[in-house]
Amino acid sequence: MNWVRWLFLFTVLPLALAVITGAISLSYFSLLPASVLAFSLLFEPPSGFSVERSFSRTSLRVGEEVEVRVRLRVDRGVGAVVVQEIFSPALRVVEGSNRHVFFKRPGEKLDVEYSYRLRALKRGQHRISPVEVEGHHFLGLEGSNYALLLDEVTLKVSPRVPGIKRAVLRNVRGKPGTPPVAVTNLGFSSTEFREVREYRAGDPLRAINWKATARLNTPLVNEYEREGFLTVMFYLDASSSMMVGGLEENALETAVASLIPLVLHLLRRGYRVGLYILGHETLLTPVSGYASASTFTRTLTSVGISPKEESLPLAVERTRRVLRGALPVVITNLRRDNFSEIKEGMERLYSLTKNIPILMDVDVYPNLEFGELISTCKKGLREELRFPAIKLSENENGAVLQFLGVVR
Amino acid sequence: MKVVGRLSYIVLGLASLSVAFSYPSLLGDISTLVAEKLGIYVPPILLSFLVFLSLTLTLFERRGFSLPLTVGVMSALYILPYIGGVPVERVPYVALSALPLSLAIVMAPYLHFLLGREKALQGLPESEWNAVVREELRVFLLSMVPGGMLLAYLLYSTALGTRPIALLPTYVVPVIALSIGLLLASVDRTEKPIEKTVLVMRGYLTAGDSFEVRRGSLYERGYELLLVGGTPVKRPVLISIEAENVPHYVLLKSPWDKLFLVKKGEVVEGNTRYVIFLPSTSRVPSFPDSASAPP
Repeated sequence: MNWVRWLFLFTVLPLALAVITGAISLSYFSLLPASVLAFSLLFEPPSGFSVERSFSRTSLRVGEEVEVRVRLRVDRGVGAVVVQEIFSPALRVVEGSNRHVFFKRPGEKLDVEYSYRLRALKRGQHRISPVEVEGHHFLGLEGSNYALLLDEVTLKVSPRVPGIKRAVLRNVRGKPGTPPVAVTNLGFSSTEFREVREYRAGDPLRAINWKATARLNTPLVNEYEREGFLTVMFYLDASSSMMVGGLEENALETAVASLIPLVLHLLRRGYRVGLYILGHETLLTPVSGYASASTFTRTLTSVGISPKEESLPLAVERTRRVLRGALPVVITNLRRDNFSEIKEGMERLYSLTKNIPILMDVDVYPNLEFGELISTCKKGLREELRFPAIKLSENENGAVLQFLGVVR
Repeated sequence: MKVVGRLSYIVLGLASLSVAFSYPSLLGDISTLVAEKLGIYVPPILLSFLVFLSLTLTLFERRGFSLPLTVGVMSALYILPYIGGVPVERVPYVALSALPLSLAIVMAPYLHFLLGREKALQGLPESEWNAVVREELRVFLLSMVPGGMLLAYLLYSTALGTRPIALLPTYVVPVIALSIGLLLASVDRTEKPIEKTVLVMRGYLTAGDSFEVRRGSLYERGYELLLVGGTPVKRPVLISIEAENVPHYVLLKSPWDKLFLVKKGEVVEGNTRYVIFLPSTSRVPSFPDSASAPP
């Protein structure tokens, strides 16, 4: 029973008791519950909320922390005020709390400030909800007041990559006698027309084919053949097979953390780089120039595990038009159950590009319990594949450097 | 909530004390018997108090009765002798004996309410909760002061209720108090026009750690929201959308899970109307994409 009904009942009960027993003095005890009831009716639940919130930063890397400061004001009412924000499990509270409860006293305005620190555990664009405030009547007499204040805030969390990036650049530039494959961006110097395709973010405005655009009412650009640059086409597997490990450290995270510096490095060196994400059917057509780096970074930073499965042979078919002359690189978690499918896909890649595709096999099993055995099994599979295969492990630059060695 | 826990036992003690006063003759005989057999004299009131305290604690701790129910049982025991025909005049200080019980019956449901609310709002810092509860109890006790003062005056003027006076219309006092309270409560409650309606959807499901919200299918009395992207993880979600029309239900759908939310309430704060949608506990109706739907 609602406790206010109890209160009302016990206001009436002594009166009834006095009538039944004839002991008039028992009726005096209606006074206490009646007094509480009358007093509680005077006050409403806390309301008139206002909130200010600030973040020490909104862009950070995995492992870094952000401080959130919240100031809450409540103007009216009496009772408990619960304030909270909801966010992704990829952000962990390391200091303070994102949920608080305060008491709004009668006749005084509540003005409180609190802060907490969040650590980014995983890359992505993690949203922090608006500030949710609930005001509860101190006797639960009335329903709660509720407000959702301010807008959602997105924290952009990039993978922890600088170490790898530095290592890549130092090792690649430091080798004497090895001429770089590409030094500048060719732009549109080639006159060999290839195709008209849809406009994509990063395409220069001068590439727009205005006539075709006007005719089909959708922005289209002219694509020209480029000469002298090697095209590297990455196939990143984002299917459930990459969900090995936990939310924070898994095969996909390892792959993305290695792939971002690699792509940036190749773009900086003038290579044409393309990307296809298996499962999401996301294609970034091969482009050159560091101007495209943000497109790759944004795409890779936001990629998650796909609920859909997509086989490598199917992905190859879907991307065959951009594959001519490219060096295909497949990044996946090679296992016994997907071995034949990957082998078939790589053979198909070879037949289409005439370049030997490279496999970057993500192996996070050594970090897991009893994972050494699986890791050994994967090594056997890589050898059985008969294509160049590189083991990609967490926090290991070797695979990236080895790959660059293969490319050159 | 240690404060509430401790207060619960005090309330049980108060209720037992009142009941102990209600059975003086019965416990007086037992006291005499104990004195004869064991040679130890235990005052009847103390013996009575110990017996009823044991009974109360057994009901509360062993039988799992809630605090209001236990106090309710004690109240029934308290009035039983009077209904059974014990003349009120024979009970010494009948009004005084009711005082602890009247405190208990006011506090018991309140403490029960506090415990229930704490369960509903889990995960808040314990130190803050305890501070809030202490403040609330302070205000609660303050609310008893006017009634307590009037009660003290009445007890004083009637020699602790032994010579009740009919001059004061005691029966009318609570009615007057309630009327005044209602009158004051109705003051300054003028409604403001609602400028916007916000649908607030809360739930817990498997969705991407960094999902995007997109509109999905539109049904007759509700619609679907798609939570797209990210790596799957069990997580709380809080989504707010401004809307013109309020649907009856919303289906939150991630690639790995779905959650059926129904309208659970509306709250107006300032010029904004918040419509709260929470997970339904009833059976989820069939949707075209679910296996139970007819082809």
